[in-house]
Amino acid sequence: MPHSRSWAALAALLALPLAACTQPLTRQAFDDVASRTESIAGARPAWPQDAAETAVNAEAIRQLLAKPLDAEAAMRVALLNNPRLRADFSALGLSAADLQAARRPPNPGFSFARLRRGSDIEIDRGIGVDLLGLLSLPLLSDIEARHFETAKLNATRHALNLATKTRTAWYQAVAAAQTLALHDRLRDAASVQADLAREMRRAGNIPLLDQARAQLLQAEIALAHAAARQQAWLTQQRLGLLLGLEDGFALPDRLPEPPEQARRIADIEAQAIANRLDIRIAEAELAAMARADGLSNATRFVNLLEGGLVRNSESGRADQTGYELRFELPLFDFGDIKSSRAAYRHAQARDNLAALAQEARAETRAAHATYNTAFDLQRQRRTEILPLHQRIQEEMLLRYNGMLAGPFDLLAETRAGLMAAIAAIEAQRDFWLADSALRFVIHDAL
Amino acid sequence: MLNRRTLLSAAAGSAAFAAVHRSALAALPEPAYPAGPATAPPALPANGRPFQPVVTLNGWSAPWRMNNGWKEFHLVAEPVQREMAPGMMANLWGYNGQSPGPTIEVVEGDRLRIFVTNKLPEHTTIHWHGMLLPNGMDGVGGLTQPHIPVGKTYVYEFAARKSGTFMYHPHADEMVQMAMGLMGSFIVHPRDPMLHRVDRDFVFLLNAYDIEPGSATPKVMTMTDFNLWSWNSRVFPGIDPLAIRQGDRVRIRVGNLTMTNHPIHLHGYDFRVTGTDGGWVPPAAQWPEVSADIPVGAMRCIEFDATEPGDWALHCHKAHHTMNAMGHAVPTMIGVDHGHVTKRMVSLIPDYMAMGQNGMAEMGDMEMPLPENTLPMMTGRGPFGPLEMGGMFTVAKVRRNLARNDYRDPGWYDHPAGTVAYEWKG
Ligand SMILES: [Cu+2]
Repeated sequence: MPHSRSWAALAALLALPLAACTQPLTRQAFDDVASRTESIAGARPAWPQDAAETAVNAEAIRQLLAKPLDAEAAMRVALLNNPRLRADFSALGLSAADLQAARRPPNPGFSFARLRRGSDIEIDRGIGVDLLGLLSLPLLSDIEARHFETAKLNATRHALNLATKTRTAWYQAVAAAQTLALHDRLRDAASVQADLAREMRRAGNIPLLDQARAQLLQAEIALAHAAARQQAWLTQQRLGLLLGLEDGFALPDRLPEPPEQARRIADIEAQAIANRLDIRIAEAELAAMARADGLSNATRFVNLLEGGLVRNSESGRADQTGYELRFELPLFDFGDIKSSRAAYRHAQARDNLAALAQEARAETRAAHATYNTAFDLQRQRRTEILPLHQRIQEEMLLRYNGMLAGPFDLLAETRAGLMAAIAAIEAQRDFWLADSALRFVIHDAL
Repeated sequence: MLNRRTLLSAAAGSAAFAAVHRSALAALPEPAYPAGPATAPPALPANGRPFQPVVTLNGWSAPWRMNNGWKEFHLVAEPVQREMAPGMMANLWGYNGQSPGPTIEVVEGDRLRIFVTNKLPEHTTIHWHGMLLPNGMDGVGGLTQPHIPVGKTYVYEFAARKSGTFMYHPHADEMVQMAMGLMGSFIVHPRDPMLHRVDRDFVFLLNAYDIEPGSATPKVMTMTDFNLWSWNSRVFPGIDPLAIRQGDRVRIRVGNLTMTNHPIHLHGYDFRVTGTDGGWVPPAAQWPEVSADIPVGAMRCIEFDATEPGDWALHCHKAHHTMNAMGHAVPTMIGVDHGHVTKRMVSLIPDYMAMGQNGMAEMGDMEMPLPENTLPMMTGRGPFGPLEMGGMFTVAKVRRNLARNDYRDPGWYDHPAGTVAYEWKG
């Protein structure tokens, strides 16, 4: 196809100068993305472009890592240090290049052909201007401008997504470490019980049956401990990956205290509709489809095939959007099919936006309800259940003092109290996860 | 217990009578209430036939009024608060403010009219255990009389046909009402005050409660696993000592309203069993004992001459019955070397203390925080150290220098030199 050849030649010719001249545009785009991320997440991503910027960034990271990372600091480190996010930002540069290219007229072409049939050789030389390219210039640059805007929105989404994932991973890791510490005590309680049972058996005071039960308990609790240790390790690793670090970061030994009152958020669904980036993108798509619909009626011979603004949900991959322009000779199809196709695409984009808005509202409502429930659950665990366990343990100790209960009764209550403490940590963790989700859900799909 | 109603001890019986005079004699006798859980000194009868009164351990005797030749008593069945020993109150049911109710003391031949007012939340009756009386006065709810409904007063009328040692208790929802402490002693003195005459005549009932440590109300469904074995609803160290003058002839009357037997053992003496709730044992048939086993639903009178001065233990010989509440499932720790686990236990349970490794004597000497309203399993202090007792335990204190009518605690015995067991030093 002559078109393909000429496009390839064009790209090759433009490649070098583009890198230089798209930089301001890319820079501008990244600043937009960074500001937008900061206004939502409270932290600014970095995309160092040279040695000096890299050094400044490294210093900022070093300072953040100097003390145990709280959730906020972990999010900052991730935004500054996550290599996958930088890869996502590079897509901005590519999109800027595409836009730049689309705004320029196609270069004049030179063609040379040497054809041979038997002993005949035919050489064609020619120079020409890509008329089709010129014709489609306004359309292409319009599409590319929209793609560029979408690329910016997507870069913001990546940064926000990373910030939220890092928060989530931080809560998971800190909670798992805290749980492991409680499992240590649980293991101690079971081992004390087993040792005491062994001594009692040695003294002839209990039968083998009772000692075996104490040993069984110890073995079961050892298994639970191993699972908790694995969980602590795994969550630490996951967080490290998001921070872009293998190790070399320290975490506080406990989750932050939840607030006394649950956050009250007014008009949360309206906020989501107004803010969500996935809705912004769908709106842009709808606008484009509306224009294309109009255009296809005006220029019936232009076949506009939109690849669709399909979000690539696979993390770390640049979003792929595409289009293809093709001019045809109106021999059989007089454009009526293209015209109805554009109308359908328009309708599809409209319905897609409506569906997305509905989903966003539902997701937001669900996140809000989950948040409220998680708040109540953690508070009940913390302010009712834990004090009751404390009370029960105290009462059991009083009973022990009066020879009304034995040491195994004491240890059983201690274990029950530790299990309750673990459940309370998990509830606290779930609250913070719900809190995080609620912050995010008004800006993007979870 | 110490409410605004007239607070009267048996000794103040005449005052009670004066109060009754103010109301119409035809009306109900004013019910009398005791001053507290201490043993009331015996009160000689202010009117009616003369008798030698008994001493109710940690209790009192009901006053009466004479009405046209009838001796009238008024018992009020009602919820009460009973101090079982200092530091522990029980929610019981009793009569006239206490469990057990006041001892009724009458004389052989007396015509009795006993008003019973029911202030319990359910119906009740009173059965006069061991008394010979008309069938319709026997107090078996549904069988010999209608139950006494809540808020109503019933009248029992019968003559005291023979002297002896008896008791009274409900025969309506009997299991629950006795588990809640409704009972009392009933003494019929001989018409001749010199017959069966003793110098000191003590009476108490054996009862048992299952009160969960940290609570106050008996578990009425308990059949065997009681944790408080009491005399007149008191447990050691709440049971008063029996103050006895050396040389006195002493009688101790014991009735058993628990669901198991109790071998009541007196140190320092052999005694004779002189009576049951069936009557006086003829002298030739009296048999010597040092422990009188009191069967369930029976009474025994034991008698001895208090020749030997000293502090003589008087207790049930079932060792568990001389303990207060304890955990019957607590494992034995004797011989268990838990030195090395103790430190780890303390790191888990900061106030933990290893106990029982060498036996439990340490419990008798330790003051550790316990559940509320709970007595130590073993407690009490004597002149030589901890007594390590609870439940059905007290001391018969026989003293040379005690006034004839003095029942106050004379303190610990002053042993003559060289009469106390001593450490051998080679
Ligand atoms: Cu006993």
